[in-house]
Amino acid sequence: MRVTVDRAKCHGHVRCNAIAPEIYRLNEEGYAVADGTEVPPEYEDAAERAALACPENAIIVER
Amino acid sequence: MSVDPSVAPNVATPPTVEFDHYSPEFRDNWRAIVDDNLSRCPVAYSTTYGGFWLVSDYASVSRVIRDDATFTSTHNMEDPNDPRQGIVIPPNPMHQVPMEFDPPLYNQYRRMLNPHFSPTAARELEPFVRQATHAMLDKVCATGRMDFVLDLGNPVPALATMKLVGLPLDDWEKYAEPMHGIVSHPAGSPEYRRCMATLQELGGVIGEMVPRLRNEEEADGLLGALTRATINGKPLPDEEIVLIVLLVMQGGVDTTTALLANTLDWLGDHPDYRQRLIDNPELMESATEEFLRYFTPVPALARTATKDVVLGGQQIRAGDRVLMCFSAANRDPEVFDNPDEVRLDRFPNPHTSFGLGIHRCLGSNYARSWFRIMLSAVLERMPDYTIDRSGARRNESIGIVNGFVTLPATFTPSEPRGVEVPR
Repeated sequence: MRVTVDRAKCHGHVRCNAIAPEIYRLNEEGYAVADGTEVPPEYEDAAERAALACPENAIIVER
Repeated sequence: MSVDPSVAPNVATPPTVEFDHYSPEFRDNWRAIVDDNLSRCPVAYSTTYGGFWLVSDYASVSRVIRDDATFTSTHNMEDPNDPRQGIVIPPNPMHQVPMEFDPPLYNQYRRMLNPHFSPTAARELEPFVRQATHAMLDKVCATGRMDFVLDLGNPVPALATMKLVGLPLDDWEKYAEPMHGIVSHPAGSPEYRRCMATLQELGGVIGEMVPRLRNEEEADGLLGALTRATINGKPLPDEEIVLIVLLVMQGGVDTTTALLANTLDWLGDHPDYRQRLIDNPELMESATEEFLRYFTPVPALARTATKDVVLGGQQIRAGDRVLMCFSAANRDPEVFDNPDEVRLDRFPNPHTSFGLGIHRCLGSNYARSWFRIMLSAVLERMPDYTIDRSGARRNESIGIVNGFVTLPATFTPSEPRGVEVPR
């Protein structure tokens, strides 16, 4: 699984980082950064749940 | 933008309401009123305050808030005849910088401010907030009574805001008092105007500090950082620094207070939920989002249409004012299953309480952190509290912030822990 945060859509709600901080890291401004980030199997559920939690639908999950 | 002021919105065909978010009726029955608007007329024309479009459903609110080219936040302070009158209906007499800016200029301010409001920044302030919280509870815990607003919800966010801005902590009441007055009275009322004048005087005091701070290399807090910041390679003018600081303080002192008071009031009536939260602290994360949704501390904010556009089947014209009703969108059954029910584990919960899009509440990371610290401390130290209904008083008007002026409670007394108010 790979995840990408669409930078144009992310507005720093930080819901993804609250659920899966290992996958969705934050930049200095507090906005999530992930660009085709490979998700280790043990974090797949959390990474997917984080994508669902995003109020801006900014997270793309690829399997 | 070109606007022909003679083109009035076509009010003959759209559903028309008389919506007054500052009225006693809205304060007392806001849930019934927004539910009625949602089901009957999700985009309606309101004849109040010179006329505006009231947008209630989640899809339309998110469309307006995300399309900042069509729905501008700009506030032309020089020309009251310019329809672009910012994010409050009726217009705020003080320019809200940078909330009342649009891209691309807005983005530069936001990028400059963001690092001071990040989750990391919020985490760094937490020891201070925890200390302030327990110091405030220490003052009252042995008496068995306290006021959740006056003894906790007002002082803690105000102290934390003073700390992050870099103003003297001892002055917190001087700043917080007029801000409470502004958000708890109808816009334009005598009390609102008195408080606004006091706030403008305080802005003058901050303005006098700025030139001195510019000469200090390590001036503290956001205020110091703003004196060193540049936009387009130029330092910020003194007046803008003052306006940004006042807006940050206004955002900091009353909204989190309102969320806390509403939550403690509701948990007072729902001891089973209170116990569930005490027994399952891991629920605090999702419960915070649910309380944000359910109480929507900031019920509505405005935009101005820059061109003709159809929204929710209604023809909006360039220059029309548009009010996004967050408290309605947060109860839209299309998005929130059984919206009138509080679900501590509701998921997903894409509420609009911090807004959506580029103007997402700058202070959201602080708000969540302060709310959780204060609520957890109350649940830990006075878990059996009872609200004293006879002394509870809501804001006279909830159009700006839906909160309480007083919320007294009684509980089993306990020993103070010896925590001092942070200096």
